[in-house]
Amino acid sequence: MKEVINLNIEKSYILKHKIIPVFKDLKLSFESGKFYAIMGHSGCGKSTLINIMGLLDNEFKGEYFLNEKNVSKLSNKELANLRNKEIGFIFQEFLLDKYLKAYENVIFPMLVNKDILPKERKKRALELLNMLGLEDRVNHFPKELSGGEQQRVAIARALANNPNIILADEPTGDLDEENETKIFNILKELSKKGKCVIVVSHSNEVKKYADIVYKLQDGKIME
Amino acid sequence: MRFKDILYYSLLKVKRNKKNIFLFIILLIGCLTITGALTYKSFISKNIEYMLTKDLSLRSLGAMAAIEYEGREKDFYNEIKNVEHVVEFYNKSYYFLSAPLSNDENKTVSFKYGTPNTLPKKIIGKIINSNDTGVAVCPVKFKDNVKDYYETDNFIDGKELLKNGISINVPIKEKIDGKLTFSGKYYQKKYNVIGLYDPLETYDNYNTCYISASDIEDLYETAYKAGNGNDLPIAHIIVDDLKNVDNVMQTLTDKGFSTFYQGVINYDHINEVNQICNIIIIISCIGIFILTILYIKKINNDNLQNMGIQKAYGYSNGNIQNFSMCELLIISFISIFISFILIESCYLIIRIFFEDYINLKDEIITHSMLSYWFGFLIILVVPIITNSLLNLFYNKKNAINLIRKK
Ligand SMILES: Nc1ncnc2c1ncn2[C@@H]1O[C@H](COP(=O)(O)OP(=O)(O)OP(=O)(O)O)[C@@H](O)[C@H]1O
Ligand SMILES: [Mg+2]
Repeated sequence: MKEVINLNIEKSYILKHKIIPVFKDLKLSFESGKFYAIMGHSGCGKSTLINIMGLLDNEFKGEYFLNEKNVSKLSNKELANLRNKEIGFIFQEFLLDKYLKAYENVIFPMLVNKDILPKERKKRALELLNMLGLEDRVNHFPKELSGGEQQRVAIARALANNPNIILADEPTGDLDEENETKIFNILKELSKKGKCVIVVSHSNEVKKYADIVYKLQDGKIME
Repeated sequence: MRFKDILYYSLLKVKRNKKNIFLFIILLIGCLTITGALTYKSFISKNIEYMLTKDLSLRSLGAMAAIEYEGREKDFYNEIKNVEHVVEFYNKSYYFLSAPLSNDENKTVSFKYGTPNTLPKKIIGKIINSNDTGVAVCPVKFKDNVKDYYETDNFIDGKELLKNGISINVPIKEKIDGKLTFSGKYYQKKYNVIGLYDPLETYDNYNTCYISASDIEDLYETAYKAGNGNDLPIAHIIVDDLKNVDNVMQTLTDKGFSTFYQGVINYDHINEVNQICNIIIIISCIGIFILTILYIKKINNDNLQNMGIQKAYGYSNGNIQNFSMCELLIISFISIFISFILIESCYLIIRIFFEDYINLKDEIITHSMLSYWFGFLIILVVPIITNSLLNLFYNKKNAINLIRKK
């Protein structure tokens, strides 16, 4: 399997002139086609880590290789391009655009992707929503959808540009058990199709699906 | 990123986000106040310019002969005739004469001295030439009863006058033993109305008609002379241009005549109006600036999470800025469009209202394109600048900080 992420980083926050160390010499690597779970107690730095991996936070020390490119050396444009095509990020709170319908939310990341032709966008969005069992919800606004449905729309959005890496920060944190199972199954399927799926979760359920579980503790990884 | 996509999705969001109404209202009010105040200002200044060029009384003056001219009226007028810039002069007694109408003695028409130099500039129909007699130029809306002058109805349509003419019946008075009494005779005359004018152009009353020099002289000498003393002659003089009035006055004074102005421009009032307009414009500009900046800041704040998501999904800073800018500009354009429509309809209504005032309509109530452009510019520029500055600040932030609003 191909290695898509390799990092060796150090991260600390600075809050009111006080340094809050989160992790030091954190070495990790991820391969495509696998389902990873990152676990650990609250405040151990799981979100911090996945945000860095998702290129949402570039304030860290050390090296982070994504598809063998050192992201610290990339320009803003190149970073934006990586976020657009290589990564699909799923948030705990779904974070859909409330003024856009389900399928429009899915189309949104495609608007800046030159590889997808404008006339193919809607078709592709509908296919993705279809795949996630939302074929009769495509014209709904987020507030007209249940939490589980919203999260599936968010997954469709993450898949919009067919990225290799799917990152999810507690994707089932706001959902009930039934929906949690659904979401984990979908993510598992994606990893089987060759994507690198990395999920941060509190829930022990995730262990059932994960190929590899990383436990984060005191800024270190225990496998 | 294609412009078409930005426009399409911005339009969708503007349409669906009801909160945009507030920004729209702020911009609309701003646009209306600024454009309105500027239009009013230009209206005032046009009005003044118009008054200066058209109002005859401003370039008229009076001159009274010196003592040695007693009984030598002709010489006095000859002196005036030779003064440079004088285009017209006549016995001041002919300036304004009121006469009862033949069909109703309680109703009156007022006559003024009408020559090509003294007639209103815009006349529908024919003008009075120097050797005409028995003709008159009357208002487009005539009112023979000055008592209800301020009521808006009871006008006689000028076209009626064109058909019927105007007839007067003036009782002639005599002086017997220094006492003025009715002689039993009447001065009766019918004037054919050959042209109509807008009394607002000349600041005349609605019952003022112009008749020829010889007619007014005839009327005065027959019917009114007895009532007036044989004092020193006074001339009513019309100068070619406002700026020459003082010169002519000086020349006449040098000849030993006493002179006086016929009309005065109230510059204080003009300046006051101008200043009030300026203050309104400045205050509304500042108000719009502050309100728009505050509101756009609020919109941006509400939108921060969205901007973070856009960033997380691969939108560049430029893309994100284009989006928020496009949404703002759509709202600005709608505000501009609506205020354009509102101002235009006001303008049309005013024009309809002043339909009968030929001159006012065509020369004073006109578009002031500059006012439009200025108002529109402010409504476009303020949002653009505010948004650019805010974006400069957000550009530096990490996606996650925007999403978590830190
Ligand atoms: N923006 C920030 N500024 C300062 N400190 C921060 C910031 N974000 C997180 N932290 C701190 O960094 C540490 C790791 O936070 P993080 O959110 O990564 O934890 P987590 O493992 O995701 O926790 P949870 O399971 O509760 O979501 C915490 O101690 C937190 O207080
Ligand atoms: Mg977390």
